[in-house]
Amino acid sequence: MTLGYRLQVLVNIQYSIAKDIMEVLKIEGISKRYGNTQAVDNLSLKINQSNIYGILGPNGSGKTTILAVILGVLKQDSGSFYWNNSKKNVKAENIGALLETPNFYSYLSLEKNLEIVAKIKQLENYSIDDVLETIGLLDRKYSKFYTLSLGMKQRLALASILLGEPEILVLDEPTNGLDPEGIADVRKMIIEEAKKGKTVILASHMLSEVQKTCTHVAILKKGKILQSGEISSLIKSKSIIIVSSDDNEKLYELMVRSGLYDKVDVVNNEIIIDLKEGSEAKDVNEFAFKHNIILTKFETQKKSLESEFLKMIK
Amino acid sequence: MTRLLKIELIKILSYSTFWVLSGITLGIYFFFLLIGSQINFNFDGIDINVYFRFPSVWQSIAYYSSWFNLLLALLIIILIGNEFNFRTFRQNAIDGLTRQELFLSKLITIILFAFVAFLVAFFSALLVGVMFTKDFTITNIFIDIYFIFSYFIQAVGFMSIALLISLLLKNIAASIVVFIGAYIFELIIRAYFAISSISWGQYLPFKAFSDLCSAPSLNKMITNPVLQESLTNSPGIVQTNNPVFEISYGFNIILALSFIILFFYFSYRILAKRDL
Repeated sequence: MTLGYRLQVLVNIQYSIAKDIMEVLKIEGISKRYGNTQAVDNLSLKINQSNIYGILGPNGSGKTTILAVILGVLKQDSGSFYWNNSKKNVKAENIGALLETPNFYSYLSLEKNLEIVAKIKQLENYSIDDVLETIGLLDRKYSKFYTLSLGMKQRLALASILLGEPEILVLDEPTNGLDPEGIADVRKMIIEEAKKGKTVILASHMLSEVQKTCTHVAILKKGKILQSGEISSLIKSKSIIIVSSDDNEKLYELMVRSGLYDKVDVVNNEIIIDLKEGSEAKDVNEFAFKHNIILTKFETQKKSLESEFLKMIK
Repeated sequence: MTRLLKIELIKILSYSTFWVLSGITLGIYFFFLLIGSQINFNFDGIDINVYFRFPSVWQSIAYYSSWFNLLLALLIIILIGNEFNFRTFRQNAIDGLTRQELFLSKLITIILFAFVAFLVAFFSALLVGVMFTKDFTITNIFIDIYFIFSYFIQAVGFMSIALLISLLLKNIAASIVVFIGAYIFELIIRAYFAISSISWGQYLPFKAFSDLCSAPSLNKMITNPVLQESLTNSPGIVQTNNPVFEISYGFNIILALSFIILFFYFSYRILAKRDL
């Protein structure tokens, strides 16, 4: 066995170990149907450790269903999922999750509800008072759950999932019912938890929330992934160029005829150009120069996740 | 197991409906027990107080207690319906309970309720027996005590049906209607079988459970030998009041336990396989 071959084997082993450590969740071809509706259709996805993975999609796109499947509360019709490289098709133990609405015993006090969660999670060293103080509900400790507002319920749910410091957080529309301050707090909490090395899976239809919080995103429509990957790569190199020239009409016609751009529009005497994948802003400048047109305005705008999302789901 | 019991106790003991239902049940239970024990219907040849003396008191109280099984079943239906209403079965599973543990927690609740009901029946029978029996021996006291243990099995049996129905329907009102409907439906089926001279009616679940604590025989209260003999020779009356012995008592126990195992098995399968 040559030294080169041995080194290659070593590199392969190290790569394999690194890959094993990094992968938190692997979804393979999961499908789920409700009657005649295909909620999730052969969906596959990989999520690595410390990712803040956003799952975006319009209502009914299968976001909650796929989360419910990987949390073990819905049974998939086909396909598999593996948490932490486990060979079993079951939910991992160290997950804190909020699915759709906060689910608690409405007739029980906040204290009793959190006591149940702590007992389920088999926690020994925990302080309900500390948890309630963190979310500003200590004075409601003995209030029944049904007396809380939606925002308070949501805060209680978030606090309960953080009990026991879970390694993985699965959050389905976590900012539902929260005021702007609450939304900002949740966003901060998610980022802080991710900094601790935790993996966060976040389903939302609030695009700005995902764009501000997540490192990765998967866009779903009718149970299928339309696109997935790092947010930066998803909206990278996809810029809008806004230009004006001494002869807008001529420039517009030349650009449309050239076929070099995804889309060219004239709005308020300005030409708005969608660049094709791989092309750069300076190409527009060169194009105008080549055709002896002088640009009087040249502005580059990064595309938002929202514009990409809306384009994809159309 | 202790962890699951503690979790269930938090849910149950803080539930006002539980206390209201339990209070009403116990109130009615002891009220009629007190009224019944005050009746002194004792004239020549008939002594009703025999039902309150050892050893008959065990069967009398077990039979009397069996009327309250509906309330135990109702409690189980409400508690399980709540888990679906509040979506807490789902949340408990997300928080870390396995589906086996979800099932076990309900099984523990049923055993706990049956045990408490058993204790109430046991001590009521013991108290009433001591109050009404003038001369008793140890043998005399304990000879028919198995009726109280049968009552425990009966209570578990009724609640096992309630568990299955509520897991199937996930809705409190529908489950109560179906539970009572199933009981009435079985009565009709049994009546039809009786008319058709088919003995299968004995093997239906509600009947199998009910026969564990059958009504005490009327013969017992007749102290006049002539009257007793004429009553014994009247087959209609004897058969009506001794249904438990139409199939052997031992077989009845096995039948009831088989139904309980079957209902628990199906309940587990539903919880393990279905979406939460």
